Formats: sequence, structure tokens, C-alpha cells
Amino acid sequence: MATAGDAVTTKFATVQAGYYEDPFIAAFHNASSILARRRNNQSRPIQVIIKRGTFARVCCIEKTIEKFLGLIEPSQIAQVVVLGAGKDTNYFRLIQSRLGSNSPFVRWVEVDHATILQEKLSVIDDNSALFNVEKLGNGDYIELKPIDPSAQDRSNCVMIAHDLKSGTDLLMQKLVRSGLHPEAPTLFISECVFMYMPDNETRRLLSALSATFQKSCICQYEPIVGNGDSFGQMMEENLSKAGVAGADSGLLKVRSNHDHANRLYETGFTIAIACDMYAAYEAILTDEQRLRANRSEFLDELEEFVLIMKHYSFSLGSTSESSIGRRLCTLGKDSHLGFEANRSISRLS
Amino acid sequence: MSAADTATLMPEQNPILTTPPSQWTTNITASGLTTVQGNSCLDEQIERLKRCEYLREGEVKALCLRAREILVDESNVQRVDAPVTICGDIHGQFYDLVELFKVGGECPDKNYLFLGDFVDRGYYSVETFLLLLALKVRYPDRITLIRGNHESRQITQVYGFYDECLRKYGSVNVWRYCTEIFDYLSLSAIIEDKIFTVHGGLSPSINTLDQIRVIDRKQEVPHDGAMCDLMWSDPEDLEGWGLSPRGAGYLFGGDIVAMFNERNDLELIARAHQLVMEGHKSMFNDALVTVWSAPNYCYRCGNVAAILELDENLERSFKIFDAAPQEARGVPIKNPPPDYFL
Repeated sequence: MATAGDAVTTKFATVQAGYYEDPFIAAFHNASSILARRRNNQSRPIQVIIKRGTFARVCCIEKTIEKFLGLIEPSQIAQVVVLGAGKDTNYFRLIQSRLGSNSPFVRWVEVDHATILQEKLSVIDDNSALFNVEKLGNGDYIELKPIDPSAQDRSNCVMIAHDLKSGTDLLMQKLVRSGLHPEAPTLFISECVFMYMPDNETRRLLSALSATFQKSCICQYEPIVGNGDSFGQMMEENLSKAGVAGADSGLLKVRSNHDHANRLYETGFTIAIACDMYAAYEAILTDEQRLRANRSEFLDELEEFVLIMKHYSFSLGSTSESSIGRRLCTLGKDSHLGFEANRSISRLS
Repeated sequence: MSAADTATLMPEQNPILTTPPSQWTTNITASGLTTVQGNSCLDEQIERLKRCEYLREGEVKALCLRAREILVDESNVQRVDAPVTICGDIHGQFYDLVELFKVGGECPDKNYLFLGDFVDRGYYSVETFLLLLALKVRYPDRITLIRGNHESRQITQVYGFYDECLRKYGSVNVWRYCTEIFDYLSLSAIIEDKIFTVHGGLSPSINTLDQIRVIDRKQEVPHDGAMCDLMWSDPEDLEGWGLSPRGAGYLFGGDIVAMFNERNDLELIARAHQLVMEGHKSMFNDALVTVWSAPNYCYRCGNVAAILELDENLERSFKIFDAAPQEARGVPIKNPPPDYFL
């Protein structure tokens, strides 16, 4: 729960510094900052490298969503499921500006702890003019329907209260009951979620997702502490000391791009690619985005930026049945996302 | 407090930096202390600083006044004699500075040249800078401090020193005294006419040391131009000049270094500014060396640190050291862990 607040604080600072626009993040920030201040005892400035890296993460996820939707026929239904969604604002940003008339219908699902979703929903309630959605249902399924009629025909969003560590079967039931079609093209998104979960539970979850949703793909953003380099060792030590992850957690078990591609491969996403976030910053982000970052703030800590970015992984996996996923998982000059052949790991069946 | 002091120490241009004289907490002036009284007082302050206890606001003000009298006479290319030990960035990592002196020998037993970036990032910028400044005032011929790009009003407001001063003193006065002194720090040094030292690197507007000597340095670090470049530039494996990804200064190649060394009859450029995981890095056939002296930078990078010792014949040897052990480091519990993306 603390990390959902941290992500909001960081994203808010990044938006404030001018890296990108997110009209919704301030509402979540204002609601969580009182709690955050109480916890931290003092508010401290967010470092430039953290803002620039957050911007890179936002750009990568956003680009994946856009490319995924762009590959689906307007007559079809596209499904996006955000695992451990926290205060993610992608859905609202999507329906506000990025759903064109030739977009497919987007069925969006967010999964997180009941308490997080409640916090999120109360912020949406308190800022109804901003979010412009109608809330339906209660309990474990809350549906958000855009009030704007033109957006209504193009998407809806369901929030599912579920602890990802509890019962994979139950989650699959909940996902299907929420209206997701096992046959429809589906993109799963997970950002810094599996680092906390025991690796074997993540594997069970991934296997269930790839088996239930046969035409699915998944994108992940996760730390990689590496195998003995000194920055990674210190990162492992610091995060372990902060109580962020236990001995069997993804953080300690899945330590490299290679490990991530392998885990995806072994859990049914049999076409898997991964690169570090520094490569992603240089190749997946556009020239305009990098220029915007340079204009937003001086980056004095260049060497440290390279180091920390090389310790985060951006990975993509696709089931063999998913033609869209397979197309997203290409490397080199044909890559939809910009994965470079010489700086990416790939695992193919 | 004379009117002249008021004028130089209290810039009026920025209203948030202005405190009425009634709130100043000291009447001590530099000229009011004799050298003997000053030194015994200083020795006691140095002892306190070495225990990582920070000075009272009035003491900082008096120390800065004395430091100014010394620094104002230094050249933009300050002459330094060998033997001397060259140190790179420290960045407020006080306990690692103590470790540095353990490894390299105490000042004044050994001569030191610090290449700037004393403040920001670490938890103890106040104590770190004041200890180095107190040593400078006490042993002006034994220690040389030159300016890094973080010795700047603008940068310290982003990277921590400003917030630290505010937190530790409840006002920005100490930050103001210190940043005022930053303007007096020399821009570079030359050891035995052979080794040129600077925080960042070279500038396309500078071909000779004499061109550095004529810069009017008593100002905030500018956004561009020679003075900015000296503090912001980086060497890179390219030919000629390149744009810096930092947004200030330039990248310069081996040919530029060779030309500069040739023209100024130099053997070596020693600089800091860039984190090097091994503590030091030679480039361009040993024509340039980077020295980095903040181990486990930001308590996050896991790197070792180095200092470069030059003997009386300018023979070079590096000493490598690790971060001070956790017990000695005394990171208080309230210091938050370093940031990652979560």
C-alpha cells in the first residue's frame, strides 16, 4: 500500500517538473500526501533521476497500450488488465484523449487490494467533474462508465478487489465474471508488482493467465538486482533492509532480463523479450520524449541514472496463440515498440 | 557588523534569502579576533566538526568571514606544491570523508587538494563543508579547495544542501553564508606547473591557463561560458567537442586534451565530477584522470572511492577505500533509505 502512494508521489513530482501531462495524478496525490507526510515525517524532494526514470516507465507502458490497441480491428474488443493497479491513471488518460473513432472497444480491468481500490474510488467520487465516470455495482466489482456518451461506446472499466497473493483460481473466476472474454485479445500490465510476490505464486498466476486467456500478452516493469555487480548488490541490500521483499520474492529470485524472459517463457508466454530500462530510454522512447526530459530538468547524476536504469527491466511476453502479442514481441527494425536486437534478450519457442 | 559586511553577506536581490539584521545571532567579526584566539577557537571547532557536530550559526558566519579573506587572494588557477593528495567529489558523505583522512593521512600532516562538490546528495553537507572550510582557514597552505558545479545557489536548492541547512538551523542563513563563500572558491589549481586540476573539464572558450586567470569568478555559477564549462564538462571518447547530456558544459575528446596539455606544457589533467565505480579512471593515454572520492555514492551505488597521491616527483599512486562501516557512519534511523522505483 505504501508503494502505491510512493508511485503517486513520484509521478506527481514528474508531472509537476514538466516531463509529461497527467490531469488526474494531482487528485490522487492530494489525497495521499497527508498520509505520506505522516509516514515519512518530512517531505523531501524527488531526485531528478527518479523523475526521469519514472517518465521512461510511463512512456514505455503507454506506448505498449497504444501499440496493442492499434493492432486490433475497430470492430473487435480489446481487453487490458492492470495487475496491482494502485492509483494508475492510464484508463482515465486513455478515455479522455486517446480513444479515436477507429479504436476498438476497450474493456479495461484493474485488480488490487480492496483497501487500495476503496481509496481510489473515494478520490474519483470527490473529483467527479474531473474523472467524469459513473460508478456502478459494489463489493468486489465496481464498474466505471464514462459519462461522455462518445466515450461510453468505446470503453468501460471494472475494478476487481483481489489480493494477488490469494488464490489464482479465484482470480481467474473473477476476471471472467467481470466480463472479460477468454478468447479476446488481452494485454496484462504489471509494474513493480511481482518483485514483492513470492516467485512461485507469480509463476502460478502467470501460468493461469496464459492458460485462461489464450490470446494474451503481458508487459512487465520490474527491478533486476543482477548477479553480483556492486550497484545491484547495494540495491538488494537496501531494499531487503527496507523490508520490501522477502527471500523468495521476485526481487531476489528473478534477477536479470534473462530471468524475466525465462519466467514468461516457462509460464506459457512462449514468445518473450526483455531489455533494461536504459536501453528502453534510448530506443523505446522517442526523440521528442527524450528532448522533453532534457528540457524539463538538468540531469547532473548522469552516471547514476545509467546505473539505476540498467537495474530495471521492461519485458513483454505473448502466448503463441496471440497474433497481436507475437507482433509486439518483435525485435530490431521491425519492432513495434523499439526493442533493439543487440540490447534485448529474447526467448522464443 | 560593518556596512560593508552587510552589503556582501546579505544580497538583497532574493527576498526569501533576506533576514533582518535583528535576527542575526552573533556579533563576532573576523577582524575582532586575533590569530591566536582565532586558532584556539578554530581548533576546538575542528574537533567538534570531526565528531560530526555542526557549528552554531554565529560561528559559521565568523568562519566564512575569515575564509573569505583567504580565498579572495587565491588565483583562479591556484598554485599548489607537491607532494599533495588529490580528492574528488565528497557530496556530504561526512563519515566517508573521515575515512578518507584515515586512509590518506590527517590534514595538516598531509597536503590536500579537493576538487569540489563538497555538498549535496549525502546527509551531512553542512558538517562536511564546514570541516573542510575550517581546515582551510586553520591551514591555508596545507589544503586547497576548488569549486564544483554543486557549489552553487541554484544546484544546492535542488540537490539537498539548502534543505539540509533549513532543517538543521531552522533558517537559510547558514546556506547563505556558505553559498556566499562558494563564489570565492578558486576554479582550478596547478601542481608544480605540470598537473592541471579542475572539477569538470575543459571549455571550448579556453585555450590557455591565462584565459582562466582572467575570469571574474566571484559570482554564481553561470549557465554557460568558460566558468560553467570548467565545472560541468566531461571527457568522452570522441574527437573534438560534443554536446553534454547533462544540459551544461561540453563533452571533450582526447585530441582536445592533447592540444590543451601541449599548449600549456602540462603532463596531466586531474578532474572529478563523474562517478567511477573503481574510484578512478585514466583516459587518453594517461593524459587525463578522473578521481572519485565518495564511496557507495548516495548510499546506493556500491562503488569504491579513490584519492590520488602525488609525491614530490609527481609520481602518482592511488589509494582505494570503501564506505565507512555502518557503525561509524552513524546514519540516523530517521534518514530514509535511498530511492528506487517502486
